[in-house]
Amino acid sequence: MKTNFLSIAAFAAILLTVTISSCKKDSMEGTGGVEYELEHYWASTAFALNTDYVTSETQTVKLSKFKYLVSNFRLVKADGSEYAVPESYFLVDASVASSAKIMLKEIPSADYTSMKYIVGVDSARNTAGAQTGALATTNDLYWSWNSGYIFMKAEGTSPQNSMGISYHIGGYSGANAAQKEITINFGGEKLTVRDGKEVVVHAKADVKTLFNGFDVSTTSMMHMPGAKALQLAGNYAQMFSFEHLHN
Amino acid sequence: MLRLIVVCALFSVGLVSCYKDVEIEQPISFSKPANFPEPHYNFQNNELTQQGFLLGRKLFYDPILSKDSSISCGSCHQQFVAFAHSGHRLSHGINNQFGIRNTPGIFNMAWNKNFMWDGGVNHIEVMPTAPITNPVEMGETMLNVVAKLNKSNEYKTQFKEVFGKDVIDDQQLLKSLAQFMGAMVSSDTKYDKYVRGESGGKLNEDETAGLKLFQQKCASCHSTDLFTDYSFRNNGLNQNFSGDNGRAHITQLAEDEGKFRVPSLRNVEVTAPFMHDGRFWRLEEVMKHYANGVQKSPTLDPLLIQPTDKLGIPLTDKEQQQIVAFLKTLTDHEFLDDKRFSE
Repeated sequence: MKTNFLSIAAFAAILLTVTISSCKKDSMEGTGGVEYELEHYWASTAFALNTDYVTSETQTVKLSKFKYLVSNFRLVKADGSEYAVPESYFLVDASVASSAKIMLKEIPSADYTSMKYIVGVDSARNTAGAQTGALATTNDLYWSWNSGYIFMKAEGTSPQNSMGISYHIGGYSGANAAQKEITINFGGEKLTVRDGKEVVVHAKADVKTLFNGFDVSTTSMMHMPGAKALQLAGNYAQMFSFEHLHN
Repeated sequence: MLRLIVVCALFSVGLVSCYKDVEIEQPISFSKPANFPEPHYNFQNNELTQQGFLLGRKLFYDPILSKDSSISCGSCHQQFVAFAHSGHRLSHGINNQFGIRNTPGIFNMAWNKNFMWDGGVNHIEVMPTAPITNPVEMGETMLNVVAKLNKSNEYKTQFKEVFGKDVIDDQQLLKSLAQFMGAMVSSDTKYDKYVRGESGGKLNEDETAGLKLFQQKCASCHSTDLFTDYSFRNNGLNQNFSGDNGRAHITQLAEDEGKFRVPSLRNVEVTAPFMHDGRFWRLEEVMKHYANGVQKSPTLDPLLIQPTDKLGIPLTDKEQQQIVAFLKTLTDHEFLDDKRFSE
């Protein structure tokens, strides 16, 4: 009789504890991490440096360098409200595998339906003097003679241009502003950020799009803001697409 | 008695050592001279400290910043000519390569909103990245310079004293140089003392006449006691600018073709040769240019087109002389000799 009562009490206690801890897991307290994992492709093939690929203009390119800056990450809820991740500046370099995994830390627990960021660096940080991290001048993405960040670098060779190709895309203000806003919509799925948990957003970066409608035979070096940079920026605005989530 | 002599000797030696230390490092500080407008750079996020300033100075004179360790900032920026390059129309960097523009002086940089003859640099802290990475100047990469500094225990210690980190990065390097260059203020010329009513500010007859003429004929561009409005203008040096299109190189606008920064005229007595390509060796030649050497081009500054359509600024020989006499009152000998800025 005593044992039964104790068992029931124990069982009830366990049930209560489990229920309470489950409630805690679904509570919107605290913060979690969001890993943004970019997978680089050329159309439907995995992208690699020093490999021949054919562009939409049926020209061939082989890139020895492909790196870019992304920044100003925001996580968006169903009601349209946004959480802006402070100091979110990242350098993605095709030669550094780990750089394609972007860690967004201390994201408030919530359900998010999309993510926004820009390719490039906002104007304010282009005029704020010496910076660190992804924005250090030692990262080879800075124009010293015309102060400002190079948002994307694509360098390599092409049989269509004997001088090689070297495209440095930038321009931070006015008519030459080459920053592009990217929206990664989770397609109806919810990214459930919870306290102490890490979730993952997988996206595809299709390097082929950079060369859409671009004739590499007429442009070897492009190292300044302007019309050509804007044309390529218009392309990298289309480069990123949602794949799936891991909640 | 011997003990007394020894004690006195030791005491004297001690005194002399102390005196030497105090004499070598005078404290640095930054303040706006009474007759200057507000500075643009106020060391925000880069507090000016004695240690930071001294570190910047050490770096300024260290050829380690160049690829083959042959060129320092001080190689082309010489204090005795207000940090311009004495007797050089153009300057040579590593491997005897020449640039295409005259080395400007360095003073009052905290009042600049942008830098270089074409204004291509937008912040004092990133200014050094240009000469450091220019293949015809220091020919280095920022990454390599930082690596070289991190190999020096002396630099690691000094940087840690200023920035508190175990590793030197490019931001620390650039901030140190900004402290050194930003702190260099030139505002104690005969002219400044005259304006501020301080002793040593008496202008003679020619200088006074020159000042009046200057205010009438030159100060619309070379304005304020900084002697520049920091604008970019075509002052009629060429008919075409295909060799160096100046500001247009940065903005890519046709209207900026052939426009170059209006330089400050402070210390012009010592910063010859003049103009973006150093074509004039003497101030008298500059005056002659404005009087009857101005050439027409689509972007020639309207201030250099007289109502009669004659080009330039009406200046008699006497007036030219007097303006030159006035310009020589802008030499800041205290600045040129200031040991705080020396190697």
